[in-house]
Amino acid sequence: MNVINIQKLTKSFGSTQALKGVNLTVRQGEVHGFIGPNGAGKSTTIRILLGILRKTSGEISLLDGDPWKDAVRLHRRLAYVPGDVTLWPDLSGGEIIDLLGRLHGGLDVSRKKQLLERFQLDPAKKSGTYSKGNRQKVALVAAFSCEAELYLLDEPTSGLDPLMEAVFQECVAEIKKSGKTVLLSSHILSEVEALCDRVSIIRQGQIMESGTISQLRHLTRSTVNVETGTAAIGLGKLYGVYDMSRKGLKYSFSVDSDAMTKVMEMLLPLGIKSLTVEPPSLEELFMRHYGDDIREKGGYAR
Amino acid sequence: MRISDFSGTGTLIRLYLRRDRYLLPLWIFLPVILGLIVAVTFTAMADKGMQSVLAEFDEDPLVSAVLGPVMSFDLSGAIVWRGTSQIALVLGIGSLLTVIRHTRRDEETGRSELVRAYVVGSYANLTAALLLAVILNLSSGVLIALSNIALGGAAAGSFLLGGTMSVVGCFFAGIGALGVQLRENSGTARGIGMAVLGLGIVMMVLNNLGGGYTLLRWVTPMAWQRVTKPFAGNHGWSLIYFTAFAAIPVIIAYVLSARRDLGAGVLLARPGLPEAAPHFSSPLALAWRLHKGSFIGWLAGTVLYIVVFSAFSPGLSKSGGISGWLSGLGGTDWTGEVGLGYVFISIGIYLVSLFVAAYAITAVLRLKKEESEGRAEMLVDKQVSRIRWMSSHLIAAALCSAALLTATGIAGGLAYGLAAGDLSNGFWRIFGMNVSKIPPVWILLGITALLYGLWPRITALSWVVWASFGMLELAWEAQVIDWSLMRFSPFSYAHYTIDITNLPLLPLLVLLCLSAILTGIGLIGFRNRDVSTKA
Repeated sequence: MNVINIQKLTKSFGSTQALKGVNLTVRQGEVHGFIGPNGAGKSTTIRILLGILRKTSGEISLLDGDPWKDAVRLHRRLAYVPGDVTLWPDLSGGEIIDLLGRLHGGLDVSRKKQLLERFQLDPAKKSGTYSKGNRQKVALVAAFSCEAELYLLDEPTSGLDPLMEAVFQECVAEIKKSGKTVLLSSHILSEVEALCDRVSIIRQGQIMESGTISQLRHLTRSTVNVETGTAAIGLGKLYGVYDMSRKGLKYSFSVDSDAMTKVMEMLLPLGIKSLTVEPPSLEELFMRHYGDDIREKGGYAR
Repeated sequence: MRISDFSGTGTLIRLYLRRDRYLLPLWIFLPVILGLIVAVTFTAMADKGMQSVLAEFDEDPLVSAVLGPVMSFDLSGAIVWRGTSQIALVLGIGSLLTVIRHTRRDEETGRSELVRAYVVGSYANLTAALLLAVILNLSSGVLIALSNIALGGAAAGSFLLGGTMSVVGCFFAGIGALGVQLRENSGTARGIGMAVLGLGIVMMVLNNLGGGYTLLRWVTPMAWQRVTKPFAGNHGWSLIYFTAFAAIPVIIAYVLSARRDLGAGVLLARPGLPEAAPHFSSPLALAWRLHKGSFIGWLAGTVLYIVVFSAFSPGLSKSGGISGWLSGLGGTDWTGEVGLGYVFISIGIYLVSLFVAAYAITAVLRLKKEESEGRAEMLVDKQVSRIRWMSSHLIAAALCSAALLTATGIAGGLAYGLAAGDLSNGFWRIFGMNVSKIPPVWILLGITALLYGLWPRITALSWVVWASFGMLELAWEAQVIDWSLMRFSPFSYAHYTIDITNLPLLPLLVLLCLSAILTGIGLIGFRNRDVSTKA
């Protein structure tokens, strides 16, 4: 069953088109990563899911309801953490967490206390004195203390230190274990790699790829380091082989997943002395999708 | 204090001039325009000659009780007599807000931290903000002087008037600079500044009630022209004293600023509650919490103002004759029977209600702040509909503004009744004068709610509407427009010229319905638009 189903979603702000036909499905019980560069449309999509922004066109359903029309009813069943949390400066963190929990329709007090401890947040401080990371913790503690079926997390860990990042990952793992669904928008690709079952990559208001991380890996290149018995003549010119470098009989290159068989067929008769094949990291996947843009503009070379 | 403590001041002034390139001209020209408006209305009235018009006002018991004696019976004197309080108020507000905006507001948002990391001395920020206010006040003062010379005023008197106004503005810049040292938020500083302005107005009127030349004029910026006396003896030397007076808050501000951390106040922040109180569980509870601080400030200010004037005004009743000016205005002629003090307090309450309407606008505009700063988003993703979120602040604004007028009604009624020795009669009349202003105040609330719901970008229009109701009143008092045009102002339906015991209630009920309709349209508009969010 799909918890989120988005088809051909568009959103315009005046003459700028923020979303140009987004397709996104999030299944029940999965942690779905939502990655893309700044301004790609991640937050806009999530805000449409929250019923804060109104779609321009397209189909969108959230927990079998319409996020715009049924907003209040649906919000009982979801929790949200924004990426840039702004609080009421003269209220304490503890008061804000309690208030948000009550507005959600109830909060698990023992869970709240446990989360305050895990995130090491002092609830008695006025929120005006909180640092960026501490403001983020207020929103995280409030959301995770609420009972919900779906957690919409929009770059939830921006400003958290690595220890807190680890606590966050534990929390998401616990949520997943209890069968809840998470949509996690993030820049921290190691976080997405560690937590997510499936990933959607958005760029300039469109979804570029969607699938499990291993499916996405198939779409890109692995790095191969090989030492052969005799020289591999013409390896660099093989279709699907890139970035070849050679040191004696040690070759290093990257290869398209669908060209791997051809490469292995060529290498085998030469006598393989050592061989390592590294699957691409999400980082490399990401760079491959966006690197083109940046390279065209002369900013990034690889 | 070393020279290096001031390094970067020049660059910061250029930054502030750039940031205020639209705002600063407004504060500079608005006082000049106010002076010109006074000149235009007096020229329009003066078909029998300026001398006799001013003499008539000067002898009018009501008018001179409010505005004090005329010092010079010509057009320049008219501008000094009628215009200085407004000019002082505008320059005061402009100076306060300018200083706060570039000091505490920048610290609050973290911009100062960014700036101070560069080669910028610890006093540079405060100094640059104060110098900006000095630039504002001197420019405005020079323009006031030039406009008076253009209208035919003597050069010496014109420059003395401009100079006096500049020093008044600089005094309030100093109050702003002092206020921002105390707490870590800019709201407190604005509150302190507004309180000092309010106190200045009360002291000015008390000085006028006392004949215009009491000792109060030496410490009341709004009455300093009664010491410097432009066009009426030109006591220019006293400007030195006032400049020294204006420097006092500035010196205290410098001393305090050296003793505190960036971003902190001299008074330390108190810790909050680790858990929310049990009743703190709804958007309305949050709205009340957010409005409480400014409400208490307004409550203290309005009640103080009304109580002082309610207590003083019965004493005016015995001084015979009422006001030729007032009966000439063509409202109802009940005023002749009831006594001067009664009319005086009636006008005072009317003026307060205009300011309560301004409060109602600021209270509704809290919605916009909450939305644009991204906090609305944190609530409407919960079990809170947009209508419920928006109405929470509207209910707070409506109840708080009504509570202000009820409180001034009760306190003013008691003060007037006790002072007049006729508690039951006095109380209910003064109470009625206050609460009858609730419907017109709510009209402005409704207009602001409608703008916010439908077109949040142009909510500033509500201030234009508010100002135009005030302008209608001024134009009518100056007999430039007649009563039928005055009816466009909702305040005319609870006007001070209408006897409170005979006030028609039907128009007030219509106003209440109208404000409900305006508010309803605003709510529907907000339900159907995008919530604006931080990028």
